[in-house]
Amino acid sequence: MPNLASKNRSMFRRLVRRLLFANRGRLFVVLLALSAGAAVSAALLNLQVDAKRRISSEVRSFGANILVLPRSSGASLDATMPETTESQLRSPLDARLSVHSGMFLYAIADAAPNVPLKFSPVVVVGYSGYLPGSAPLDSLLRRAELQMGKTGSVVGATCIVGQTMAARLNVHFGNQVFLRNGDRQMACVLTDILKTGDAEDSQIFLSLSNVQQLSNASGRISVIQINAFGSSKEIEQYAMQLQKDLPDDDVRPLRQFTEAQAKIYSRISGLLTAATATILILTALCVMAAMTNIAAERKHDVGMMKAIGGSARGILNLFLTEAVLLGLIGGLIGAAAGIALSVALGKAVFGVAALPRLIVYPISVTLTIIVAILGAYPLRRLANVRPATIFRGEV
Amino acid sequence: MTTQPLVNPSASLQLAEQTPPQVVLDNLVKEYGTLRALNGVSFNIASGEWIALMGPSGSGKTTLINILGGLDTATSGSVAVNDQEITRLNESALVRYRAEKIGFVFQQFHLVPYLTALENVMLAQYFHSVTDESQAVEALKRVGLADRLEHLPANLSGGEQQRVAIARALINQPKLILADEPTGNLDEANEEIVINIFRELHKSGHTILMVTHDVDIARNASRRIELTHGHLTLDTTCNFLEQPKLCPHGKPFPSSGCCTTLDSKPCTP
Repeated sequence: MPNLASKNRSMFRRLVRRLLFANRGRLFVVLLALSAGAAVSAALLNLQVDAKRRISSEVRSFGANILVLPRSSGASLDATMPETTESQLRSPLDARLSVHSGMFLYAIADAAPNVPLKFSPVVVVGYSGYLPGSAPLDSLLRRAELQMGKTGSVVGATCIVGQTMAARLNVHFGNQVFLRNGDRQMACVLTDILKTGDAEDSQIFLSLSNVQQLSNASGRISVIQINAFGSSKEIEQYAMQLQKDLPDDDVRPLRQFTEAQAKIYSRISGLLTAATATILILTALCVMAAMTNIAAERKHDVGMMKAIGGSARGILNLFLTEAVLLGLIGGLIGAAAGIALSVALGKAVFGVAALPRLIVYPISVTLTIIVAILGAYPLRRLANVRPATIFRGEV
Repeated sequence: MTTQPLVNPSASLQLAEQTPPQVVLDNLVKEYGTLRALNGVSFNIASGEWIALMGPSGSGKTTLINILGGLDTATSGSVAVNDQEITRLNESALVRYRAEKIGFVFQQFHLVPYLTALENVMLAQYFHSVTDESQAVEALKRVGLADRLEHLPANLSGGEQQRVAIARALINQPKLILADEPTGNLDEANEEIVINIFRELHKSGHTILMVTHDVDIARNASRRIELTHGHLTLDTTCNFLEQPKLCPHGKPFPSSGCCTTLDSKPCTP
């Protein structure tokens, strides 16, 4: 019996092979349609999968999404908490969540350009840590320190002045800025001008220790800004953990921010899904058009197969296997091309090449196979027609 | 003017008396919308008979053969083959019926163009039960195509294609061979080859129902049935040199056999 079954399997394979290569021109057209569909859908799927990481990364550059403030600080710049609070920040329980933090101390001081005569009140900000959102600031501060070290021409503090403040004080790169807070004074060399379009443009940035010294707040900070990189739910959970760990402080997740991130992702994801679905539907229609031709070519074969005892199911099995193989071959070729395409598209859209995601490959191949099976509908319909109807030419 | 039927039930009765009928058609009707292609056709076929089914175009010959072969359904009436009522069979039983009991030979050959001669024969085995290449080769050898096994239909002559179709029809040893103008597309030489194969089949006891317009081919048959506008108008074992006796429709002939020119026996009232 197994021998008989294997004989029939061998005949089945033989028939499918003959069906596939019955018309090489048509085979090429169908494969081309399926590969093109698979390529575009794989490219879009890869972008979609990569978009979450990409958008999160883009949004992360906007800054913190959790704040740790002294309890009941309100809008006051005076309320502070110990610098050691930062060391109490725990690692997130969820390994998928990556967390960075920076410490800030805000103080009011008087500033004067070059000659310490005409002082005007300014907000000075002390900053320490690594916060991706403040990366420009972080790198500016480091660059300034390096420059000072190299040239050796200026000894002492360096500062970065916001664009608006620099204009108000009329200071430029290399100028000295004098700062005064009560009886405490210090001078810093302007190493860069910061442009954010936000409140930072009216502030002066120094290292945390400088501002602590200036404001007589040694070891104190105003706020810890945390950038947690993950879904809004993960971020909320992390904030709740922190609140438990820091009962004396106020942990505030910036809900709108994380929700905006989720919204952007959801919109882009929806757009890409719709585009992928459209491409797949178009591909199915192209394949269906080709298959309608094939059905017309094969209608007498189907009528004859039924006349000699072929069941609709047996004939369908042949045609569907052919469609699955076409989908598989088209999908494998197209998905590989599509992933490569997505790398280029990612570069064009996000400025950075999208990472090829392995999961996209089986998904797009499976989708292409499904499309090929759907495209074979005209052949499926034919298999259910009475042979006499076919022979009379009514189909 | 109404057509006077020349029906000789005794023709089938003679054989029917010897063996039980293999096929029984009773009051078969087939309608396509308002067109009645078959209008109450009844006759029996005994095992081993070769029947030439004749009649002008549109008389219902192909419709009859299609219903008998399970390719189409009857509007009313019944068809029993080997005591199996086929008009009541469901689709899957019809598939088995076609695979096991019927061998079709078509005028257009209906070979699968992308399968070789051998594969076309094996296709019938595949749908029947299991493929056996050596048996398929043997079948093709019997119809004189031992050297054409791997040829595609496009590389075969019409006669060779029809022989492949005959080998395919016979490969599953069907009870009944239904041939719809099997020589209609063949030249004289190939026609002779194909008819010789049918002669051999008849000799070996196969039951054949063959649609033909060709009197010379019909002469080979043991019995002739004619349809006109869906009506059975002649059923006789007379050969073409003999005249079937004119009888009113429904009146039986004497049981002495076909009505020949020599037969002066009157119809029974």
